[in-house]
Amino acid sequence: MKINNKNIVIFSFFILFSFSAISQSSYKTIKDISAFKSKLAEMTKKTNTIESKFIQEKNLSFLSEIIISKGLFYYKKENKIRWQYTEPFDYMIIINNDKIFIKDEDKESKYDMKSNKVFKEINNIIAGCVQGEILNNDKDYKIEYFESSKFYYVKLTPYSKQMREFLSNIEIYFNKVDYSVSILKIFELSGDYTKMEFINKKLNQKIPDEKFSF
Amino acid sequence: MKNFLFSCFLILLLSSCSISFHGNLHKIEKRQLNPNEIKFIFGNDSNKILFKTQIDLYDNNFSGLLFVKSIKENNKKIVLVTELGIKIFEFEFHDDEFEVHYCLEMLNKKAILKTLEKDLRLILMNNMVSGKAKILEDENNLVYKLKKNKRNNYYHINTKADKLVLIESLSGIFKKVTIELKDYKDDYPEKINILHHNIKLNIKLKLIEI
Repeated sequence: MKINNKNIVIFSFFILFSFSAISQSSYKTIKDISAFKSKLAEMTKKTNTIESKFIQEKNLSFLSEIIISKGLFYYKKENKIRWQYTEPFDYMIIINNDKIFIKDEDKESKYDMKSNKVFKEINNIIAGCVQGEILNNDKDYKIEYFESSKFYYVKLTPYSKQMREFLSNIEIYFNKVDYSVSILKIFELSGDYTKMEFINKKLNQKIPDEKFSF
Repeated sequence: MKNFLFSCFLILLLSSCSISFHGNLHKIEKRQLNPNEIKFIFGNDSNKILFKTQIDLYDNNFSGLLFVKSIKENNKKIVLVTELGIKIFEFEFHDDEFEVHYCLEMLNKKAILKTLEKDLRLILMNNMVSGKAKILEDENNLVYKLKKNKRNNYYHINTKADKLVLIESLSGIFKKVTIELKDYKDDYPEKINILHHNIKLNIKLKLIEI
């Protein structure tokens, strides 16, 4: 075949097309959504504690840079969360029912969730994702379900304009074996996103209440 | 009555500002500075610096990560995000221009943006060395007095360590902003504290990554 510019264009087009076809086919929509939801509900009901490491990547398109931070995540039923950053800075948020405690190096602050709308919303998202409750909130979010060989992947798009100032959509990737959250991606309108990957997950191990006291 | 009102006004004015006479400084000379005479913290090469940041504005506390990136000469981009990743602002400094690419509604007020611009400009030192500077000295420091937008900015270089240790911004004789630069690691200060004298605003920066 004589290689000319036209051929190169057609060839590149074909390559691009086949790649996009592959990437689209790697995630397909879940057919039986109610079966997925009931299985997820059953698994989260069985999950009393989660202990995990996390890696957070903040993608800043304006700077073409990524900020990577790492830490430890603890969850205990019903509503106890400890979110502890250890690298490259120390910062910790503890949510214990409707109380929030923040330790920023030597500075400590306590808040009542009832009096702070932003915290309430953040907690609803985090706890909602961990407990799977957020998938029942079709009043506030448009919810779409996909799956690949490794993950169930749920995409949530908030309806409210106020919410969309902070986030354009949320993607939650559930592990197909134990239905625990493996990756959480929060997208902003600018195209920036925060990716949280949970690794070394331990489910239902004993976590003392002291981890959530302040 | 007129005198009383005037006294009240004067007391109010003086109580909200600190006065600085810089009596201990001796003038050496007034001249045009060489381009690299004052060592910039944020050089013009494509360096990037990440700070852990605490902002106290009246009774509100904000914290997050401040990312400063030098794109090219006199062009710097700055982003502040919370630890959890929520973006607070995106600013760009280009010569004497200031562009707000994004700002959370809560902080998107003219007065707040102007103050943040002025504060950040003092440490970025964009286009700072344009006019003539007065060069002064005291026992430990060499001090460059630079005039910019009706403000007199004093850059104190510790002569022993050859490091920028203090920036003061004055309007007339009233001290508006003091910036301390401490605990140098190589050429970068590990701590930068920005203290305002006429409003309750303090910004603390702690270096985490270069």
